Amino acid sequence: MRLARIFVLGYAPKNGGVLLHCLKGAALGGFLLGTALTSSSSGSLAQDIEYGEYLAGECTTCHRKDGSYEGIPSITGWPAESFIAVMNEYRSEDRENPTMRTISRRLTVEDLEALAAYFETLSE
Amino acid sequence: MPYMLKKISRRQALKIGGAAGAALAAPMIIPAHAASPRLVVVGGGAGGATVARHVAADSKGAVDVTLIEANKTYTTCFFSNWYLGGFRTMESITHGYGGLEKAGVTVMNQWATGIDPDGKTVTTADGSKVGYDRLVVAPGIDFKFDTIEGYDAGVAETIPHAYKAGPQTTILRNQLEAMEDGGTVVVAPPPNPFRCPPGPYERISLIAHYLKHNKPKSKIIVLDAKNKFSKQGLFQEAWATYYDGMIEWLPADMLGGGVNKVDAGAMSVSTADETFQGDVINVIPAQMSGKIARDTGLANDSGWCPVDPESFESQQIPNIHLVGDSIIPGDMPKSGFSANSQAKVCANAVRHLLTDSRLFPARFSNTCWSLVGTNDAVKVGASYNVGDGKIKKIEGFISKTGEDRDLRSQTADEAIGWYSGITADMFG
Repeated sequence: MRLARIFVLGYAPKNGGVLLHCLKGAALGGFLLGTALTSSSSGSLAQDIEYGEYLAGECTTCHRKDGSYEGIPSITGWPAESFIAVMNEYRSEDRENPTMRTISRRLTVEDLEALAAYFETLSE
Repeated sequence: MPYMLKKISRRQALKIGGAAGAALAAPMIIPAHAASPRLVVVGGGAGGATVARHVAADSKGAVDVTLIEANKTYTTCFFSNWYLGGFRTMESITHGYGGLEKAGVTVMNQWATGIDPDGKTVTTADGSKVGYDRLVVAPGIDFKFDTIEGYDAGVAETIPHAYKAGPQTTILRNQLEAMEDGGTVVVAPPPNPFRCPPGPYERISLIAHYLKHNKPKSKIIVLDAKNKFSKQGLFQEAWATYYDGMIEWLPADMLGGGVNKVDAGAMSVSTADETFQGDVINVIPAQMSGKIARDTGLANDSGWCPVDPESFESQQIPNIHLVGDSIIPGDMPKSGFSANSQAKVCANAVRHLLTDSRLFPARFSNTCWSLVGTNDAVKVGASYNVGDGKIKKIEGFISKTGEDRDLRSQTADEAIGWYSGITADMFG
């Protein structure tokens, strides 16, 4: 499967948290450019919503599942492509938040796709 | 309490009250092997509440979940230092169990007094017996009062530990408010291992914040049972920056060990080498797993409970699982975040064992934020999986000394967001 890696224009990577929040607006506003990133996600767990829901337990300790913002941005209802792109940027250290870098680095491509697929199904 | 009013409808509140009233009137005998497999959870903190709510919500009625919790509300230990420093109200860190009931959990406000592993029942203070197919025990910590001469639960009303949040925390805050300017606050952090490794030092920071703004001639003396502590460089940098000259930290090697004696009448505490007077004294004793875990034989000689790191089933007694501060957690620290993380892995495993639902690999994370001053927080954290037969650290991170104020302010906002997130995850 081929995934689109999405680059966001005009961000300042100092604040990973607020960035995510901004990115959501940017993504929905269509300010995204895509380039190809080949994924090896052929495993059975890729885009597995139930697996994604399990993995999301790690996210919902901080990111409220209802999508409200009280200091940590919402990831509820995010487009899967945006979710994957942002997590890849944490993994490559293009974004600075050390919590998110640590979380992102231990996710496999399958994990990431399952998580992204799950969060996309949620609505605020 | 605004949170309660917001989260629990009048009808739900009457339902809770009615259940409690019925329990008082006539002990219940609840049979094991009901129509659905029965999960009973003892203890409604970060570990227990999370397991109960997630199993009930995820199983969609396939598992009959009962939470046995003595108190009708839960005050989080995390952020209780923020209350001490004046950054939070007690109401804002106190939560009801209405969200768990909404998820399908039966909440029994009773003390769990005993567990019969052979009969698979839990006995409560009113004489009820609750049958289970799987039991999760999440009792948190108890204090080793016998390690400090003159200290017990009664003396703690005068010299609070404030390390189980709620009335104890209020006592400490009231004493700080009543103290004259120029007074001395003595804080005695415990030896390892203990709940929330940065907790005593965030507390020292936020007591100092309160004193600086209200009683600036006052001092804090720290009588530590250890020679080093979590995020030490970060805390000591903050103490020098914000509270210069106010905090004197004395490590165990300078004291001949930690506090080993309390004299409530004289308002003094002693170590092997010296006695210290305080106007307010906060002694945090050495810790062990909660009483019901020890009474049941779930703890080993260390006082803590060994568990399988993937299912959290006790290594001492089958069909009983434990999460949170009471367990031996491998590389994880004892924290609310850790308990919540373990609880979701445990919930997946228990549900699998009860209903043959899908079992996913265990994985964990933890972050501990500490507020050190207004809009200034630091954090430490790590990710974990299972390796070498235990919960094993994969990668960690920690804030750096000298970080700019914007980043520290963002970290403080993040801490506030985490509190909102984890309490929603625990309580619904």
